Amino acid sequence: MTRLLQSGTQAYIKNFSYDRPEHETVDLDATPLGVSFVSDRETACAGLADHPKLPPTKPFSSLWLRAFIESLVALILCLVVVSFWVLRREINEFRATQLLFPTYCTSLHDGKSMIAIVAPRLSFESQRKTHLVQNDFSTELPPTRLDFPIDNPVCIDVASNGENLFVGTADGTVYCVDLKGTKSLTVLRDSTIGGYPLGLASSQDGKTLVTLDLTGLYAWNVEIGNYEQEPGQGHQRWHQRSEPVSCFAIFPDSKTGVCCRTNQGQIELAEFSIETGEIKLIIERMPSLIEKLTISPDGEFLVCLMQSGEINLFNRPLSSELWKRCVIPGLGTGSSFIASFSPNAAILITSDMDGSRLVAWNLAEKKVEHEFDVHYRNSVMMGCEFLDDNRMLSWGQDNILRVWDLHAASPVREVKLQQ
Amino acid sequence: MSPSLIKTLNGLFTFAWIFIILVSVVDGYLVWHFRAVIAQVEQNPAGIAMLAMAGGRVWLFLSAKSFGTILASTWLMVTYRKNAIVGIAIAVPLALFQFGLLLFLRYA
Repeated sequence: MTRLLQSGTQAYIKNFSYDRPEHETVDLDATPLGVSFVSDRETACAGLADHPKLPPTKPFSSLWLRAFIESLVALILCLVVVSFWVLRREINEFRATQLLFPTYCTSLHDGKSMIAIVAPRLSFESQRKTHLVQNDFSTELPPTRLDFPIDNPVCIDVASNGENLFVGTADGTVYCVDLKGTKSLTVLRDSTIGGYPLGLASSQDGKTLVTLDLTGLYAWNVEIGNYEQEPGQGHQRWHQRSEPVSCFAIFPDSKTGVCCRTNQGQIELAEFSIETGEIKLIIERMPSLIEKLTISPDGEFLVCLMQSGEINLFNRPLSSELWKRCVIPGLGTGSSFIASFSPNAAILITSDMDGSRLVAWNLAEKKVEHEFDVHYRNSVMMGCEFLDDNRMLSWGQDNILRVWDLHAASPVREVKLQQ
Repeated sequence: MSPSLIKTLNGLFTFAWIFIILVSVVDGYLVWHFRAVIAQVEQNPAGIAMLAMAGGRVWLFLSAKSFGTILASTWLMVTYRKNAIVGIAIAVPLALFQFGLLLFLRYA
């Protein structure tokens, strides 16, 4: 007769025999539920195994190893998911950054050098910053980074005498940098006034700087020594806050400017006084907002790049007070907001419909003079400016700057702005 | 226990377990992303000590974070397999805590 006995987690199977008493110990890794009398041993063992407790786990047993591998795989999967999310987020942020911090170049008016705002690259840094570089095209040296303590420049202009560089930064500060003398910095406007500068332009005589932000137009006295009591406001001449202004430009006479403003629901192209900020003349009511205004160096032509993509050209001979529309066949629309006059005011550069070409218009003969295939395949063409009457710069958001020979209509040099 | 209840518990545990790991990975990413300023803004004393030990760099902190996450999730999985109720009783509050951490990281 076989009998099952219990002791802790061990089960004893005892064979009762009158002639040869013996017992067998079997560790079943299970707590026997009780003592029972059974006729054969196999049934007794199977009955116990139906109700097992989990075996005591030991470190590095297969259960731990399996859980470890599962955890590792889950961590790697989560890393992949987070990486995709991060990549998408970074690319979206980068695109927004490109809109906020566009690449922009301006000539130093010496016929050989320029200063550029270099847009930040796509990177996984927590802070993306723009910076300024200067390039001298009379040498083969690469652009040099300007180490002014200016954070995130977003718009720049150089006075026509090349003496002062004006820099607007993302926090709203506007600096005047003395390029010729001690390279000293003057804060024309501190960040407590206004906000993100949408544009700035220096008058031809270099005495006035006009800035634009969402609160309107400001004019600043550039001449050093014109401080008043309030810090940061000492240079302010006037602030025209009556109507929203989308863009502006200053005439070469340094006395008047032109702006696109919204007045009682009407979009107006208007002339204003640089001295007082008052509107002097409504040139024309426009059907849509103007994105960019460009005035020829002689002050006779005014180009309006409409947000709709339309290009309007106005002409005012020096002897006249009135502007009239100037029609050039084919000068209709452009996808990029690009317009630049040559220093002798004979050529106007605009972009074509799809933004892949620059078109040079002969203003006297009212025809296309040249076309430039700019090849910004993986980027957006951002602008162009003349170095002199024969050479032109074009740049894209990829921070590549090209120098063009105007008559050969071919690039003569390519400069990577990124440092 | 009915099969449907077992299935529900399995699903709940798996969700909580993966969520805990996911938040830990996101936390690790943020440490790496803000590595330039993490020494100034980190609030975990152990993290601060590890950053100091690595001379302000984040590799030691991130390695310890990853290793700790794997160890904790392994232990949690083993606990669940030994006793499902105990495993869930630990995993769900931990996942809620991680959710709070995620909100803190996002909005604080």
